[in-house]
Amino acid sequence: MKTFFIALLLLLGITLQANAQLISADVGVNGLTCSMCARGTEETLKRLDFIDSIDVDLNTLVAHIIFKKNMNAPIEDIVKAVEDAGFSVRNITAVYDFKNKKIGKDEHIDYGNDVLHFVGVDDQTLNGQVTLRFIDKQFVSKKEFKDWSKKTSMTCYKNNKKDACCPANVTQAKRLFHVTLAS
Amino acid sequence: MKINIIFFLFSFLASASSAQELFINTEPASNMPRNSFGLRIGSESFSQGNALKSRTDLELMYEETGNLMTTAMIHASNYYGQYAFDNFGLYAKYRLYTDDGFKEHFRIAAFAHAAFGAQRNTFADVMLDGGNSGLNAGFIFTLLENHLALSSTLGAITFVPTVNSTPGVTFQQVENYDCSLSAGYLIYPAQYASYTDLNFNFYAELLGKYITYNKSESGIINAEHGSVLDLAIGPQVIINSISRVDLSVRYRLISGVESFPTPSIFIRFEQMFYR
Repeated sequence: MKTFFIALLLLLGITLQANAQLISADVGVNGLTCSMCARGTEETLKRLDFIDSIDVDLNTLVAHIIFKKNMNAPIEDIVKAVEDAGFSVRNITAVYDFKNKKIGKDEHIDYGNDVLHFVGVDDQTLNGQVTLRFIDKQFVSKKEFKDWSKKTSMTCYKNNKKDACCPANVTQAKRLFHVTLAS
Repeated sequence: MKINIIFFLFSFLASASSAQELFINTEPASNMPRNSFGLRIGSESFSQGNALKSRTDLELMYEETGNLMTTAMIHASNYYGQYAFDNFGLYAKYRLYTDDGFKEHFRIAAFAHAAFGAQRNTFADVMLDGGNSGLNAGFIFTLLENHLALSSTLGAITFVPTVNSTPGVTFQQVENYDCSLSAGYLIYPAQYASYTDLNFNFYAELLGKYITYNKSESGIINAEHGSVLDLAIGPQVIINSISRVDLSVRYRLISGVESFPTPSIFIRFEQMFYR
């Protein structure tokens, strides 16, 4: 039985790696101006074992993060680490390496503990490195949020929380993010 | 004249290119990163009569959750004769409200500071960092805009009756209501290039107290009250974005009650430790 579960977990891991791999992310940080605060944020992010390197631009206050290969790198953990440092995430763009991943309007795909809900995209297959922009209410301006709200009928986006509209893979334990393809 | 100086200082800070909130004489409503430590060693000196009085502070800070910071501190001084241990204190600060924007925020925190120790006092002005026992609690409001960092601390200090260093005089039912306004300004660099850049900051802080007390002298008790307002100004150097050196000179603007003498000089070193 134990062997079966290990095999299952390995298979899930392989499936995860086969579908998508987070390569890098640019995370804008809000609420700070000083270099001491920026360093504190960087040191907090460095505790995450899936981060390979991090470089914070002290003027734009954007953390450019490179992730380790073949490791699950949840965006949820990055958002939490910035909050643990005492600040909040302004915006996120992330580069994923996809392998024949079919997406479409309001498609929800699993990435580790994150579920990525695609908003405002046409049916297509993602292959290679693709940049996703996170468009959750807290990561975009009020005007943009209104605009994106018109592009999905799913109430989880407008209400900024998991809702009855969410498919079965959006379990209680998962963190739901709303994304679109970066232009 | 004093009002002009204050107006000039705060106008200067308001026109700054970048704001800084690592205040020297007060705490901001912001906290340190979760699971980080800070160590502070500080010293304040002033002259009283012909004697140079000085105090040494040692503080160990720990950030528990990103919202709750606790500090343990000990103080020693020669305020009351020979250089000796004065008291120890526990300070806790909890961030209640956060509104973050790009290079700006508004935050509110609640704090409490309890000091225990030798229970001595010379003045009705309670100094929890300098030999008095008591409890201070209140709120901190910090506004950080691109060009301005302003912080205000509102608190009430109640004071544990003491053994007095002035024979025949005791202070009873002492209540201090403190109110401060701090502003901070980044002088150098105009633009950050790396964490190793030395940062030079400048701070101006108005530190005020309204004090009510009963003063017992030779058996006669008088209910008295008064205010003290000090201006503290000084530079700060940030090294490697992980250490800081603070220097602050404090002048008295309003002296309506007996208090610790000014001008006084405060110097402090702080080192952060990330796990």
